[in-house]
Amino acid sequence: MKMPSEISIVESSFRDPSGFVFFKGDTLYRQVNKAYSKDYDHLMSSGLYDSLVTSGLMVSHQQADIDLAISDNAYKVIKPQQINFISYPYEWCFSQFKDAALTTLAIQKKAFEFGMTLKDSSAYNIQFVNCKPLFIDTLSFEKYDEGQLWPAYKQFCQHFLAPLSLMSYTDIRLGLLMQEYIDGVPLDLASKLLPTRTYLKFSILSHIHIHAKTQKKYSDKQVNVKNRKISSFNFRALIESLESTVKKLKWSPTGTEWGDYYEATNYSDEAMSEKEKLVLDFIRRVDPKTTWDLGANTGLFSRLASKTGSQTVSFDIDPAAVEKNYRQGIANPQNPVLPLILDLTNPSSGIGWNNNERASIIDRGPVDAVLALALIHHLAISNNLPLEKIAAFLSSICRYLIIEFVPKEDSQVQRLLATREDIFPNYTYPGFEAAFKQFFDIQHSVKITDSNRTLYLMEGKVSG
Amino acid sequence: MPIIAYLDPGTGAMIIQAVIAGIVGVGFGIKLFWANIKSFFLKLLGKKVKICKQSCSCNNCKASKNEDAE
Repeated sequence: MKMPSEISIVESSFRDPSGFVFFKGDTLYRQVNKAYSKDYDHLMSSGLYDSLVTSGLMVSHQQADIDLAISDNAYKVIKPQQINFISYPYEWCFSQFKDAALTTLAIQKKAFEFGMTLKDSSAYNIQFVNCKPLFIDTLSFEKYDEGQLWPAYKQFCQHFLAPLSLMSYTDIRLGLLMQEYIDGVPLDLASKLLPTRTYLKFSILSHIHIHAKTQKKYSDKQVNVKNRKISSFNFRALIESLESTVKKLKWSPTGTEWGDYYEATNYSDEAMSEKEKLVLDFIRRVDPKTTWDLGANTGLFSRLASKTGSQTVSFDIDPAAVEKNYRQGIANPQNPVLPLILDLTNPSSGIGWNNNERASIIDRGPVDAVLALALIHHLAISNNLPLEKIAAFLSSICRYLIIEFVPKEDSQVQRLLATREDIFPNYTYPGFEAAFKQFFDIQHSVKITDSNRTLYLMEGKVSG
Repeated sequence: MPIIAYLDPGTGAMIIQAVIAGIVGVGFGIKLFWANIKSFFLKLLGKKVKICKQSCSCNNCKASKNEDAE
């Protein structure tokens, strides 16, 4: 939604009447409305804001000129620290999701120390700066009144507890339910999908199963809940209970598609090390500010891009690979990348109101460079995607493309063709180059020694 | 009427929240009680022992561990 004078209101920030986020040109601003002035002043003057920013839990912001305000009910305009790449819960691996939940609770605990509480606990309020979760909604705090309940409890259970429990106890792929349900996984659905043994765990029994049944019981009844009060001690106990529930949820990457991919490639050590050198050389030639590594596995090549100073997002379809990538990023923060789950054959689409609330992956691009290494055969052969369509898609998301062609003679392609008819007469070097030349200029191509693969550096014909 | 009540907390969710908070409040009270007794005796013995409640390896626990270390 472009308005005159290049102001655009961020589509996801319409729910909260406390304020909203907008872009002026490339700069992000947040308008704080007059109605939120008391809570905003308390956040800033109580020391909570400083404490959250210093401990690296929340984005910082600067005061901006009030004349930038979009409407006359503005109290302040602030300029928040900008996040390079916005990711969504359905793109997070298990540990990212868990860390996002624990960050939300850590913020709630900190807020409580300063006489405030979170008024919502949307998973979308957490963003990742590489492997570090960061709370981005400065207007999520309200003053705590002694005796009040936590208004964000239901949302926390739907946005965090339900998907995390399902990923941990039922199936890791159920994190994708977050893409289907914009306000988190309905608790009755989570309750149905969780195994019976979770009824024996008090935390899951109470926060999900009984919670779901109580919601259903009171869904069509008018009950005055204003008289319901809990002491501040019990309020703290509730948050502690949620925290210990989340901490106990575990998932370890075993048995999915690519977990051991690097160990199972047909590359010799020598060829692998040469491939690394070539990729790094190509990256340095184009010196990208932003890079997406598609089919990144555990992020080996993403880290090469990061090493050159490029802000790198490391996508893979396999939750196990992304989990390993994330854990590796935490253990070794050198050359940081943002690991995310993405199925390229069905990439994140625009969802929510007007299909605009959460952006599609294409709308979050384009980037300077894309790495597509050992990927093309999965798209062209496993998914029957014509090479022209792959080239067209890649040209829409990047300016420079570093791509590896894996010919039919390669044992990995032979493996894919072993169980099916070869209906890919154009899947050859000439066919590949002809398809990609429609959208890219091939700048360099180098055969990787000790393999039958070739690495290409291409520049998009229509600059992104 | 505060503006911030923009999120529907849900009737059932509010009711069950109050009940759960009451139950976990008892457990939390006992936990704190024992922690106090334990730290009292440890102090009495002159031992400086810091009990780390963080047992997982996620970012938050690491951050709070680092804070503790500082």
